Amino acid sequence: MFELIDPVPGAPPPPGPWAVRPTPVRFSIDASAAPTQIWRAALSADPLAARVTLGVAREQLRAQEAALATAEERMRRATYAGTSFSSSTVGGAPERALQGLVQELRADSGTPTGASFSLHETTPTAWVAAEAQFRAFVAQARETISTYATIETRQERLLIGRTRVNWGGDVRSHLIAGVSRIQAELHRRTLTLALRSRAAILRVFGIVLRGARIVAQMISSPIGTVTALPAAWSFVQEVLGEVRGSEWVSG
Amino acid sequence: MASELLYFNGVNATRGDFARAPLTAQELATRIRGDQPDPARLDPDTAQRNELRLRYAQRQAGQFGVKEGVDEKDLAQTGWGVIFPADPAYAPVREALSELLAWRRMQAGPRYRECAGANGYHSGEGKASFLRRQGAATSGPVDPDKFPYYLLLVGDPERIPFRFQYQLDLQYAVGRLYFDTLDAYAAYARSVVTAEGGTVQLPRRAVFFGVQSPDDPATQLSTRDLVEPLTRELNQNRLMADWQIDTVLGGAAQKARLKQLLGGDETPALLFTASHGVEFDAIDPRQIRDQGALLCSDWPGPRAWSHRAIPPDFYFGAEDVAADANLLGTIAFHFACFGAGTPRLDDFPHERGFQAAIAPHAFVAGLPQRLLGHPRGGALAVIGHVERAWTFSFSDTQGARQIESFSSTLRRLMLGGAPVGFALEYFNDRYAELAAGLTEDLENARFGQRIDDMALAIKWTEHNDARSYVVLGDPAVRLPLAAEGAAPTERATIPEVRATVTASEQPAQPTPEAAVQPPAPAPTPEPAPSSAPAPGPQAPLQQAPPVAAYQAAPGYPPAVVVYYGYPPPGAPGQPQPGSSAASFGLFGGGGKVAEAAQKLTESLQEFADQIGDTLKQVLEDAAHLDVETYVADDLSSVNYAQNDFSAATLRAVTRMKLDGDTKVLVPISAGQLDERLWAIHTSMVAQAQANRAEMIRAISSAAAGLLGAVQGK
Repeated sequence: MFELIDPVPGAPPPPGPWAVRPTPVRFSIDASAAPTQIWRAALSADPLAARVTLGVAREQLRAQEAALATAEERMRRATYAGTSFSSSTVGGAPERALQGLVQELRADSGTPTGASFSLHETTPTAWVAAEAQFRAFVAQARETISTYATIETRQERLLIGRTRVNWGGDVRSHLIAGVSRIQAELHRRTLTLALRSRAAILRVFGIVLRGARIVAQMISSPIGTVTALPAAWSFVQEVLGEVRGSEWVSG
Repeated sequence: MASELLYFNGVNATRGDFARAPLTAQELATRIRGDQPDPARLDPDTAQRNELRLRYAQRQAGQFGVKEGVDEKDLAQTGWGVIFPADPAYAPVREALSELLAWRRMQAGPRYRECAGANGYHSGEGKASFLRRQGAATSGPVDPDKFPYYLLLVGDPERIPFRFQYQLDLQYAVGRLYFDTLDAYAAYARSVVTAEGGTVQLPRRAVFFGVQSPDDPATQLSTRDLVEPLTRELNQNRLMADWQIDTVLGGAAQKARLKQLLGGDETPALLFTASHGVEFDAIDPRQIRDQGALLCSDWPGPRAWSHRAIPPDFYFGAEDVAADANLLGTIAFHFACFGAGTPRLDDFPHERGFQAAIAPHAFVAGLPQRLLGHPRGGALAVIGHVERAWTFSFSDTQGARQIESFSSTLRRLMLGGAPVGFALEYFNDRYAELAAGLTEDLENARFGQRIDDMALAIKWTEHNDARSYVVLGDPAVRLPLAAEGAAPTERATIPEVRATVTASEQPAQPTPEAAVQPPAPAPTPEPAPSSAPAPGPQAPLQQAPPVAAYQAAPGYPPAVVVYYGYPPPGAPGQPQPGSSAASFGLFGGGGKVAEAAQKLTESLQEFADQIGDTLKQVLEDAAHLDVETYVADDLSSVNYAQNDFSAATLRAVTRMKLDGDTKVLVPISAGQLDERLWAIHTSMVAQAQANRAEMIRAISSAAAGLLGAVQGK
């Protein structure tokens, strides 16, 4: 129903209702047709149902934005709890995952963990996986600020509106001839949703950067901010996942 | 009668013309009825329409407001509550208001209530669902044991919509507080507590300021049919003998004089103004700062000043309130378009029911914010109008009934010592009465009964007027008057008060979000650097002072970074600025983490390069913003990827430059402005402005964080 067609391989879903689909690979060379991020909403032909769908999507995004607003503070608390009561788990899944990753980091660097002084023989697999995902996210964020965003609204199969926005904010919209008031509203709401999600990608990026500094500074371990980035990234994804899972996926 | 012109009390300062051309009653009635007459055109919320009918019925039976036996002037009986958005980012605001909250808690005792955190207002909630969550009845007389009668909403109208305020106000006495800075919240709290603590004792003086401009029927009517009858009636009231009631009318109602009345030596206890409120196009960078400012008699009128932008010299706005103003204790009542605030969407009924965006987001007017949050002590409350005010609603054609709402409200404030929220109940009664009558008319029209155009237009304008009067400030404040016969004393001020929270913990800017009905609020448009910065939701908050201590409110997380037993950054053993390589090197023992982190650093470096390029380009391109709207029979035939738009027709263009130069191409259909397409286009313009501002903020924030990460800071 809502998809982001993203040229970045392995790009994670951005905040909001969007499922990520890779850009189809073409075997042709067309320099002017550079791949862009396409944000597409496929809505019902029934205006009421379409509005409801957009309303639910907006609420989903709003809930994730609200969750994002708490992420930094939660990270700070989880990190503190991890240092003070490192053998215990605090909070929900994000906090537990963060503590797990931090312990992996300490083990890899030879720093004794607060929970135990046993040697970690295993490789830090969770951290490595998070690092790969985070690098895909960095590429996605980079794509966000370097290419056009194309936002499309369809009702059933009919394309009713398409808007291109460049990073400078210029907007070019194409609307179907004779566009109705409701169709215009549906497209405008899709546009709002997509642009908010697009901005949220950068917001997540900023939160992860600040979160990594918190993790790096507040745990008793000599890790650097860069090394802590995947841990912070995973934490933010877990926080977003809590909202996705608990409130919206069931619908 | 139906051909008589109706005037609207607003002047568009961007274009230098009336904000809306006069209409005949017949034209307006046609728009109100629409193609299909339906009560939902008044309010789409069925529960609210039912509540309006109930209120009207209760009023007829003499039952409204608080339940029987409760004294509306005693907070211990009525209770007092405050409602924050359900957003932890508002914790610092709560803290800034703590002085007022503690004071009210003391007065209201067990009937004090705070709705914050998860218990606060949730986006999109209506009155009924909110009250149900609080365990309160959703209609009928208020039982303060279940939920307080006086309710203060804290937050901007994107977080807590004006519609929710209207709905709640129908049953409760409601006010709203919103400021751009935490210091202003703290100053307002101090002002109220100081005023109610007995330090402020104002002489019984009211001033009625009635602007009247040449060739301007709206202000001529508001002076003749509102200000003059009001002052006449009050002067003739024997109970007003100890009040000094002054008028400043016509040519005397100039900006310099108003400055004396709003913070200067002549500042009265009660100030009533009737004027145009200036209105701006949604793309005008002055809109957020100045919309609703009071247009004074300096304006030479629509004929002498035709089609020229209106300069600030003609109107009184937030920036005209002096830094050394003495306002403490005053209550102001502004009859003016947008005097209290602006919704995002036009309330005016359009043909085919289309609603246009008139602002990038809903906002509280700048002037009341400045009056209430003045650092030397501010006004206690400002009564004003959201959206356009309608001069016609107090004309004599209906026996001047609307005057009685104004008159009764003022009498209750001046004579009865009533809290402002209680005094304004007359407007709520009027709103309920008119809505009930209108609903009936529209239902009858739906079944084919002919409704008189004039009567319909009158009821509709009065209905909107009554609904849209709101209290800005605490609804429980009252005029702090000196005892009868007491010698006049110098007006008190408050010592400077600063919010005790850190800058980093200030409330988050409202995110651009689409509302359920109406949709899509957006952040403040980026202000032009050549003009003073528009007071957007967050920017001035960044000026709030950092302080050392912050006591977390119950239920809120701590607001400052506390290094529990660990040395601060920079101390020995901690990562040093500029030492990323060193700290990173600690993983240099060949672990997989070290290898991956090296790749990550390279990836971040590439991103940093890209973000630098983008910021450079954004700054270069920030001088203009282009918005184009095309239509096409088949959108799939438009090759947008290669910028080939030959299959589409360009219908509207807006090109804005930072120097204020804006060029627009408007869509014409059959020789007329294609209003529908134009409305779509203007909403795209608002979206573009909001998006650019948001993206620049996000990119800048990411860039700053990135620099810190790459440098290991």
